[in-house]
Amino acid sequence: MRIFLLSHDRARRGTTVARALSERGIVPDGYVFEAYRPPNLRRRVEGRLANGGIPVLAPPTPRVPGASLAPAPSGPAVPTAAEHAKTQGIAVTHVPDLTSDGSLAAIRALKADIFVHAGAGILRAPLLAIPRLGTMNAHMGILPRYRGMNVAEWSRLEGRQTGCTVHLLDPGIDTGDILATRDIDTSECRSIAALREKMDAAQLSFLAEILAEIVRTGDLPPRQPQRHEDGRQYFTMHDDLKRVLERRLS
Amino acid sequence: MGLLRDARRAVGNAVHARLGQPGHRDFYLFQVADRNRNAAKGYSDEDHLKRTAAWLQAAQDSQQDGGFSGRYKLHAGWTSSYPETTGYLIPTCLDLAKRLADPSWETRAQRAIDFLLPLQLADGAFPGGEIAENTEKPSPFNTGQILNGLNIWAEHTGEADVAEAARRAAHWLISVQDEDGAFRQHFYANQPSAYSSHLTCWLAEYGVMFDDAKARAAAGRHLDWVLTLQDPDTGFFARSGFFDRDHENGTAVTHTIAYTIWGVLLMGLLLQREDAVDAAERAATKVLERLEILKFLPGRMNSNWRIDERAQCLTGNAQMALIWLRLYDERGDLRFVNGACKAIDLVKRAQAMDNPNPGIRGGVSGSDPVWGSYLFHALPNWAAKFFIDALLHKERVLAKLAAG
Repeated sequence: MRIFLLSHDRARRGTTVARALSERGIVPDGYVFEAYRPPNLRRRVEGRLANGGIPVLAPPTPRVPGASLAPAPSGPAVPTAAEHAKTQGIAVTHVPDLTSDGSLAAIRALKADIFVHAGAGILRAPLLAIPRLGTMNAHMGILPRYRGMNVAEWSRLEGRQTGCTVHLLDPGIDTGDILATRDIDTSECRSIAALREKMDAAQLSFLAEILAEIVRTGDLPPRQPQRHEDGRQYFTMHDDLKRVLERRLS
Repeated sequence: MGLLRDARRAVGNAVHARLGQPGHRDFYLFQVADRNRNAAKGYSDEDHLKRTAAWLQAAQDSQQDGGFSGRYKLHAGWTSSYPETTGYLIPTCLDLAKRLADPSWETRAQRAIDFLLPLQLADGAFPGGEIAENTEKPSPFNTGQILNGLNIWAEHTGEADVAEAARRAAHWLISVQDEDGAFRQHFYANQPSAYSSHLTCWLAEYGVMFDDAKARAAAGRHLDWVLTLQDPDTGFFARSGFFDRDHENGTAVTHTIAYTIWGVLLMGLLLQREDAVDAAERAATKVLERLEILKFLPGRMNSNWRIDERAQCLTGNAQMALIWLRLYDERGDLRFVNGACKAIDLVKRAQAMDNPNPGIRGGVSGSDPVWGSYLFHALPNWAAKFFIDALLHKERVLAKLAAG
């Protein structure tokens, strides 16, 4: 079974996924790295205007301590996917993007059975059609209900079961066929950071477990298609709601 | 040529904005620079609430008649009192009196009532426009907004003359309603608009408060008419814009989109029409998706909820926040609270908190940036009103969530 991880060379996500797979004895056949492209000047200016304006026109205002939520504590430094590939001797295919004909031809030449999403950008239908079995993803919420962002937080805030899902990607957001879901007990998590840490470890372990089973059987487990109306799309949780959740967890 | 045109426009705008007036230059600069100033200074919702309330005080005190100035214009200063919005500012004043434990806000509401009652026309209608423009020509829409203030003040004080003024206004509204439930008489070019649901929701409020079946029935007929305008696929209400060209193009500013949705939602709740609450939720959910995906709310959208103008209409943001918070109260979907918090943040971000000019400090501009097409170069009192209403509702919801 030929397995490839879709990532960026600078992404650390590629490394954490690869490490989770290695714990199940799975060594990917290679990484596919999409090149990092900085935004052009126009987008940088637009982004600057949208995110605070032009600093030279007005002096910066000192930030008040505690004015925003504290960042999650950082653990041991994780090497980038490129560093990990080098130290582990994993083959790398560099492509300028994941959409052009040239890139798709190079990726097709890999003759992949399965891709694993590991920090790449948005994956379009032509790319998703390449691997024989599909492109797998780990999701930090129970599908189909919890699609989108911050779903572990949303599950806890809504007082529902937390869990994770391993599914195939399609062009929608978390709408691809479900391969497996698992409830995760997060009742002992006393902060959002702890919740996310536990859920992330659980989802990566679950992904590796399902992939190991696929390697063993040579085929996907039964797929459960999702209906659009069965799920809800969630977006980034606002800091005010995060504060409510932090208080509930603590 | 494009650059030259843009440069000419920029110079024209700058001249129009009277950058030599106190605070104008700083406000103009704030449109493009240091936009994270408020968040960086750590202003709380409470700070924004109090600063906006102070702006409203200045708007009322700028006039001698007890009404609230319609807006602060960069090229002309405070405008005259605006009966329509003075009317629906009354419930906001009463909410502020309670929230800030400041009875002077009740006095302000009383001054607003004293300003409004003599303006009522013989047939029960109220005039449209600002007081300097018109005191004779009746307006159903403006009468509806004033009716809201009369309803709430009459309920609050039990004053019989205000209740009678409300009755006369309500029955005049019923008298100018067409057979199909729409309002055309006294509207521009006799063209009906979906946003007149924000007229009949106050008629429904009157009907419920004063147990007037005729008023409830009239509101119900209008609701039926508005619901026929909703696209079943997109949830967009046709004719929800201000002008004929909006109706033709299927576009609307978020101010009137929100008027329409709020009117449908409130009538659904008051008249116990679940179909209307569903219709409001359908449209509000689509607007919420745009906010979440774009990270801002375009001031003008088309019938597919795509951007027609990028500049935000800040009163529309605040109004949508109110709709989402009310929908959360009814449906319990926390995603609505999330969107409301973000929409409120966008208003907070655009608010000039430290400007030396009391016409600007704490006010909420029509557009962000202020040279957007909705109320070009002006800070309207209704943007401040809806922003305060939204902040107060958000506070109640978060307190409830925190309690468990």
